[in-house]
Amino acid sequence: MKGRLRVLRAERGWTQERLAVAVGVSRQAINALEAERHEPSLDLAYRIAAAFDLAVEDVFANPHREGTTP
Amino acid sequence: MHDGWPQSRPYLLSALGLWAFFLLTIALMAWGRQHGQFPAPALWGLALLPAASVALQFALAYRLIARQDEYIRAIIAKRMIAATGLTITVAVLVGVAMQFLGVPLVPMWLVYPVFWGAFGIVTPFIRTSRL
Repeated sequence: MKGRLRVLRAERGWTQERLAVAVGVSRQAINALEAERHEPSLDLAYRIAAAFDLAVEDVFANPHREGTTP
Repeated sequence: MHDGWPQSRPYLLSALGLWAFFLLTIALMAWGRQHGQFPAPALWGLALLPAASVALQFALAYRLIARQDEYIRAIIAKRMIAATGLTITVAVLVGVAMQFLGVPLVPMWLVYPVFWGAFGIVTPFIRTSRL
């Protein structure tokens, strides 16, 4: 699932560690999400979107809906 | 980037202790049989100990994995499935070779260290939770 996680995090100057603590996962999980080695669960996608104060589809592209590049 | 086995000091210490216990009971069994020190019922009782240490080790590993986040849980589950497949494949090959090809008998308890060895072998190749 493509997303803007790395860009959004960099825009805020957050480290992977900081985002990981904010959403309650390991730094490895954030790294895997950014490298597209992990598809987030719906719950994790919501938690990450909430950390950025954005909607889920502003962070992760909906692969089942056209024209939803985040 | 480290995304291997979850780091936990209590787990590491208990795992090392259980490994030592496992090997000690195997050594004790070998010594007892060789020297005729233990009656058969005691040997049967002793035989349960390494098996119990394996069961406890897996219970502790399960508990540790269950506390991890979804990514770590997913990749460890994938690695365990791959390691199990590799171990069973090797066990079947060796078993058939022992039974039909005259290959010298290999102790079955070796399947335990072989499993963790297989886990170590597959770990660098499984770094994504995706299918």
